[in-house]
Amino acid sequence: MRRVMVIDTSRCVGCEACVIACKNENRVPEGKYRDWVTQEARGEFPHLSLEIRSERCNHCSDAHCITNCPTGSSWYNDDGTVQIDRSKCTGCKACIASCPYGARYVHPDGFVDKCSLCVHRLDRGQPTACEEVCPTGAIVTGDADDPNSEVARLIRRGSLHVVHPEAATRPNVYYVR
Amino acid sequence: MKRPGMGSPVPLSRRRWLALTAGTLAAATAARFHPLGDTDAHAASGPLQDPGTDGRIVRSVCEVCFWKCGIQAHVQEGRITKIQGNPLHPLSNGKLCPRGTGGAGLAHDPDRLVRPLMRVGERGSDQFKPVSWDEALGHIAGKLEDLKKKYGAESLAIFNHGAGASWFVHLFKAFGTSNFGAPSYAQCRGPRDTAFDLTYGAEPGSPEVLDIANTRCLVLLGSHLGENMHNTQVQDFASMVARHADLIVVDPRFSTAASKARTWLPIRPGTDTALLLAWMHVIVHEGRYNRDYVEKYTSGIDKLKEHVTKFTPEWAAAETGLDAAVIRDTARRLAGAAPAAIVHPGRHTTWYGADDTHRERAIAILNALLGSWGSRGGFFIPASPKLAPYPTPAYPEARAAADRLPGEAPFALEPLSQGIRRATIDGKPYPIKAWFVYGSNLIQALPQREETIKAIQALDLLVVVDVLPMEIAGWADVVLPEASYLERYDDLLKLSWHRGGVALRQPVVDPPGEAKPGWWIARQLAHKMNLGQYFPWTDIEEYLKERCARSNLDFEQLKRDGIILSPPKPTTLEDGLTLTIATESGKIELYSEKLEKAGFSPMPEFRRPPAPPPGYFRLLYGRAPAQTFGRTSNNRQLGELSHGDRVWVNAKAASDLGIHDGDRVVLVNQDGIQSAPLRVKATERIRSDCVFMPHGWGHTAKGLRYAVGKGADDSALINRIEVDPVMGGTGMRVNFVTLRKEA
Amino acid sequence: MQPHVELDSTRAHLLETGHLFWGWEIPVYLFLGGLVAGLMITVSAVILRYGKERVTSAMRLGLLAAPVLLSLGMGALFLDLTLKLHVFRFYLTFRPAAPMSLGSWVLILVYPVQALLVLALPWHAFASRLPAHALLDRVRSLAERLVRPLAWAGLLGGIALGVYTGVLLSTTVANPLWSSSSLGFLFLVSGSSTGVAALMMAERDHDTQAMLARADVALIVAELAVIAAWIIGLATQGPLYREAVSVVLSGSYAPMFLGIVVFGGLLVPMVLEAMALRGKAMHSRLVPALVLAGGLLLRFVIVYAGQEVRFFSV
Repeated sequence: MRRVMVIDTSRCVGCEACVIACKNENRVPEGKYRDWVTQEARGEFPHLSLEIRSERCNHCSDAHCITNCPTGSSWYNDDGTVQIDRSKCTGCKACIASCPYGARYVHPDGFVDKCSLCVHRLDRGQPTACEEVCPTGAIVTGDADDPNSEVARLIRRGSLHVVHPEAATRPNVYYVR
Repeated sequence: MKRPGMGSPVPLSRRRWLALTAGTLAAATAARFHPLGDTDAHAASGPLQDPGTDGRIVRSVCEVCFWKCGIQAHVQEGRITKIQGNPLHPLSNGKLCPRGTGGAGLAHDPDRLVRPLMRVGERGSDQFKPVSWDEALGHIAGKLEDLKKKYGAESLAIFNHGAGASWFVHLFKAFGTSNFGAPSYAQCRGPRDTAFDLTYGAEPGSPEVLDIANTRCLVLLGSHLGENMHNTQVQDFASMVARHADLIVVDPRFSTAASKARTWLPIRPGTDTALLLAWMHVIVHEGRYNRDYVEKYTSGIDKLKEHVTKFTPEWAAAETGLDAAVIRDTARRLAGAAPAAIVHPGRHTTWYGADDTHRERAIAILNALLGSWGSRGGFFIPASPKLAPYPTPAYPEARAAADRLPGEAPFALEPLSQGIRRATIDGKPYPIKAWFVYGSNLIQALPQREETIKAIQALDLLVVVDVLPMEIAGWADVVLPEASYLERYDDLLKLSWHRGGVALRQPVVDPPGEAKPGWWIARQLAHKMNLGQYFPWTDIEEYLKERCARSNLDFEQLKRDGIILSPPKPTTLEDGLTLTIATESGKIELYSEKLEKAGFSPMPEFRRPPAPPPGYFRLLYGRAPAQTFGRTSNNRQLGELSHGDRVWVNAKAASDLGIHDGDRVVLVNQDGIQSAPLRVKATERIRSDCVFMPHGWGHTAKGLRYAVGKGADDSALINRIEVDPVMGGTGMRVNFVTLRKEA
Repeated sequence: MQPHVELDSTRAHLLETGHLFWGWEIPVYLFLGGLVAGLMITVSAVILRYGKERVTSAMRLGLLAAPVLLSLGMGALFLDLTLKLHVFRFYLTFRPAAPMSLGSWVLILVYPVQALLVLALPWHAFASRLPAHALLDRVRSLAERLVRPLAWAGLLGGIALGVYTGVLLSTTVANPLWSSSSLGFLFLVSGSSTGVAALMMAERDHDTQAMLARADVALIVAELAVIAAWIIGLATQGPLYREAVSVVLSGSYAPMFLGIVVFGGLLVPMVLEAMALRGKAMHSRLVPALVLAGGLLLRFVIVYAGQEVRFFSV
């Protein structure tokens, strides 16, 4: 099983409902973000383009945060997602240093936190909080190893890209232009 | 004695050094490939530490904006943990915009009004003492009775915004006034409502009855969908974009919507009517209009054809700064998609004053030429639910509203807020002595702030009902704290949409302090004003159950589901709808005789607005997705999102002034009025003759501890207006600003 | 021509002020750890090359100071932890692929090596002041017999201690300034140099001073070469890496890096030491002091400047 997320940036309007929904669902502390929205405008007036992306931990298949964690607090779930065991975290921040995407933050309670892909919801058959709220339907999660899933279909269709591909961590959050 | 090894440059041979270092490095690197190196990396250990925030679920209706999406709120230990869209409600479909999602930030706002207050200092000095409800309402009732004796019931004016106002509208109609000035008319949707009413006998509605989900071509004029986060409309917009329907966006700014458009027209501000007339020229003169539809449902096509002859794309190109060939091409694409084509009517349409109604008439006419009114992928004719009223006595006769002098703005559909304000100042056509303000921060909502303050100073009584201490509350004589939309029942909410429905707003959590729901306040006040017979029920549930019973609705089902939908019926011609036009003539009036009789141009005209003075930019304002103008600036949840409280300036124009991205500036308008400092977004995404800022920042009310001092207030810079002569709308995009860099 | 890009995000305002994940605690530890590594390597190398009799009292003092300095360094690391109560978790597992795990074990394993080495060395003046203790005597005689293996342990331990921190930084992968295979070697050489410099501060014997000075000159030359390799290597990796390098070569950290670290902390002491060795100047304590200051500031620059340029910018 490989749980992935595919986000259609042509639909996304950058409203940040995903940010608030995640904050409420996962009790993300004030001033910290498990997900955020990035806007990238290119060109010169009037020949312009804009890409809007909802970003979060990419649950990389080559996660340096897991390799570099000295206590095993960061680990791979059976579904391929990167999770954090708070009981083992010392707050050394080697994982924060190892994340090319800046997806992790230090929680006021001392442990490091990040997007968990709402596995507590996915395991119950519910969508992730961001996926559920998104008014444009831009976010889809699913099992890439299931050929009948929507995400597998989107991956087959191709033309997906990832953020900062030069980091080469095999991220599992994909973007459709 | 010479010690062994003296004189050797290194204590160890270089080879050994290198070997040892390389060995260590190799060991460490090898460990990263060794499977054992990740021994417990795959341990299925660790409990799931995100149990979520599910709690007791209450279905209700949002009121962070006017759209009224169905919501379901989760409550744990008296606090709202999260708010989702109600999957059963057709406006949310289980989804929600960021503002509704952050609604708990209002319910749990520590700056909430919690006690009735009465003024102790000078009016506007923001000095109050807390009083009991009895005292506050008794004072109001007494004052209103005095004023009724002296000046008549019509001396009371109400400014209201929001569904919760219904109780007060009912009460004060019973009192005998007709001065209901919702700023949302003359300061917002007025021009388009009047224009569509003149053309179709009906308005585009709230929510707008646009079948964007099925349209083949959508034209947006200034509407920045996406930054304008009206839930359902954005859902439909996204699905339309995803299936690559044609999107044409006309906007001086490269908005989010413009970024998704096949064609973006970076139009010179104030010239949209010229573009619309040129489109009409192409569509009519090239015979691309929907002939059958026009023949069957409209009148005046021949006169229109003659009228638009001179509005060529070349003419419009000179006015708008756009390319004539592009104007032609977009007109043809629009016509080619008919009848599943929409020229969006907009919502906030009080722009330049002189031709706002003309511009909206042009939009209405264009849609008629396409045949989109009543068509799938165009404007659907909404289905409304059957909802029986609660029987109360008839209202007394009331004198006509004081907002206009004879002959002024003859086509206004509602009283003009600024007209009531003027009558308050100069007593013509008759004096207005009391204002009752519900859920509307008039200080930011009305342009020409000094006039508003002047009017307030002339009042005998100012009552403000609100949830937060907005600027207007600081000027009041009596402040009444209301329970927020998450803490109260409101009257049943009618949904007119693809299917009709009745929705229920019910309390999710208790209100803080002594805040009370509007129904309670109105009812208490009614009894003190001897108008108790208009509130012949004791308890809100009694009222709601009675209405439901009379309307054949199951109240318990409504409480459980949040909405009950009416049986489906046709809403488009394709569905089998019989299209009737509600104008007097029964036809869609391309040529308006009513306008002609009143001395206005019967077909749209373009009035070129004055250009900005040298060194100045036209001030444009609009929406940001995480906020509902000034209502949400104090919401601490929403405060974590992108503020959007910068002023957008063309990068090159800014750099010519020595200003760069992120710099702090003060905006100074043509009359020397200065804004609070705010940061610049120097960007390629806007023309160099205008600046853009979101409306609603720059609060000065000290009670809004989170919002105060953030960003700048655009409405303070809007001291000049241009009044639309047809319906009295206040065109507000007629101010110019220059930028001054701050340290 | 760079295409014009405008970047913004929900969290951009946070990144303007709060983009550092590691603060002063880390460079302080890196300096102390590197210094201790240098002390261990130098003393062990002297024992292995010249025998334990060549060890001077200053070197013994250095070895005695090592566990104290290392504890201070570990104290700084402890202060950096945001969940200090869980610090024991480092020692419930061994994950060799994680340099921080490797390092946390090395850190505690070098203590007994240092203690035993101290006991293995002749302590004539000191020994007479120690109370007679049967266990201590037995450990001492064991240590004295195993002095060569202990010196090997000290050398390897010191090298591990010196190298792993550089490897830790470079294996984060996510920080362009640290993404160089030269970093481990740089920390090793720099640490050795600061260890030698510390010994020079305390050394009274003229011949040993000269020996140490010769070693330090060679180490500084090597260090300059590694720094060059580090910078040039990064500059050829692409635009992001060039941007990271520009922070230390032309940006906000350039004055500290070029002026204080390279010039004042490396070039100047190297020249002065070389001149002193040729008899053209006196050996003075100024030189090792400059080396020590340069070593500390090198680590501050690397740790802080390394956090300025990352893959993401908003």
